[in-house]
Amino acid sequence: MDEQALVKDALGGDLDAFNRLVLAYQDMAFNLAYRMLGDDSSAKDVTQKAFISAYRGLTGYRGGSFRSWVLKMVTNASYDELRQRKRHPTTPLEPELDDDEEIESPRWLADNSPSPEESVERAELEDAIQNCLSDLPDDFRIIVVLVDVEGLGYEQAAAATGNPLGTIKSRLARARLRMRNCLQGYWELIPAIFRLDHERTT
Amino acid sequence: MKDKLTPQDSQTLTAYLDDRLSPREKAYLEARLQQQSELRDELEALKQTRLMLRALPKRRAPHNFTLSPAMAPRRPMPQFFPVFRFASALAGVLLVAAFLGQYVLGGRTSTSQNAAPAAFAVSGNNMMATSAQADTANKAAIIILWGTPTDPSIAEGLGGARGGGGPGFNASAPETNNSANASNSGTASKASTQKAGVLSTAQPMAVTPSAPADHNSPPVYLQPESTQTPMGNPTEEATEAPLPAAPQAPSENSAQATPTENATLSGSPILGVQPPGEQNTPEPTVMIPAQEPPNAPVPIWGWIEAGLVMAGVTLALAAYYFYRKEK
Repeated sequence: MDEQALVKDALGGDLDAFNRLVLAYQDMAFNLAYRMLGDDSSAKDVTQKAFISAYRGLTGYRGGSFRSWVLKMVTNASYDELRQRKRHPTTPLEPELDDDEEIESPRWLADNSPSPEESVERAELEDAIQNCLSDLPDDFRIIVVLVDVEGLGYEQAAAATGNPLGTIKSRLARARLRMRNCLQGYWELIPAIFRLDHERTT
Repeated sequence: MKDKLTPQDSQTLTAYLDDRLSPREKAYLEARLQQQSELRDELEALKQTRLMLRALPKRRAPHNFTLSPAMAPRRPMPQFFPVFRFASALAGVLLVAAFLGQYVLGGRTSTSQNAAPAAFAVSGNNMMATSAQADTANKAAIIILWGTPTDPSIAEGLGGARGGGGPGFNASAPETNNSANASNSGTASKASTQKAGVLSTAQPMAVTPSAPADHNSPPVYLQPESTQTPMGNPTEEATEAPLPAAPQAPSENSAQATPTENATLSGSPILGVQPPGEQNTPEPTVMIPAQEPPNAPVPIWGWIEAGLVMAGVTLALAAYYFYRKEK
């Protein structure tokens, strides 16, 4: 896929060319939005808004990594959503059992196809990580998601967030330290799961 | 264990994990790692944390986020509305300034705007049209003298010419008053002569001035030949030969116009009247195109105002159009 050619066509009004770029980056964009916001519906809204903003602001694309540019759009849209949440805090709806006990995780809708135990452990670990991510300050969270979750380099993360490289380094170190402290409660669970992953991948 | 580690150590370990350290920093850290077990534990914990984060399942998009033509926003067009709005407002401001300029700055000339512009008909081969135009531009009163300017009798005809350049050289009350005053005082005649414009020619001429006169007009002399040569400073002449009587426009209404009438009858210079015996001589008439009187309202103000009105309306309509379009 010739990214720059598609961008050029999209700038000329070719919506199909832009949609090809959307298809190429929508998973990454949605994953970033989800890790930043923690829920599907908000992540979907933010992802859609980000691509609309990207199409509208395509003239502002000055070359370079289009991936970083798209992630910057998602980052900005996520920040907008987070600011709106702070202005208008809402209480998430949790499904309740008959005995009026709340299910801590809305994973009751998830598809646990592989194996129930493994899926539960994975889900719990993912929830734990997501909770720890959500506890991070927004500026720290975006860095650790971009670098550790999305696998971007420091330079790309700097381009996506508009922060200098030194800021990326320091925030990443502090974010990882916080994440390590937060995840200590799940320490017993983590090695077994990673061993499983390691055995499967190798 | 953790108390011994500084934030700088965490940052160094993070950079080490991401292979962002220089060879020297890397060697120094690895040496420390061999010596400090707590540093090794911390590195292991950070490595595990990073591994967990990287192992997070990638969420796939629940649906395609492609844009439909209805969803695709129209790219912002260049904003013309602010430009036209500003230009329209500017035209309005300039229009107000033009009105002010016309009625405030041009108010000094409005008092003599009632002078009727007319054709300037000049008889005589030696009439200097350019001189007349220049006089007109300088608000000059034109006094035509027949006879030789060096003739001492000129002074008799020049005296009291103040106001002789009144509108249309027609006798009017101000001229009559001036002549009356001048007949009583030769000094007054001299003073008046200094301010009067004089046209002199050896040949009879019929002049129908159209320009409104101004009492502060310089004298103009016309020579029989094509070259124009002032026949001396009228002030000096008036000083040398004080005028016994003040000339005036041929006004029959003035009871004190006897000296002027005598001068006319004797062939002395007189305003706009040919000497006796030459009145029947046909003279070619040169018509000088009508000119705007110098004190009349300058038409350029009107053009400026009309242009500004047109520009303002056009720009306002354009601004409204782009406002609706960009909205």
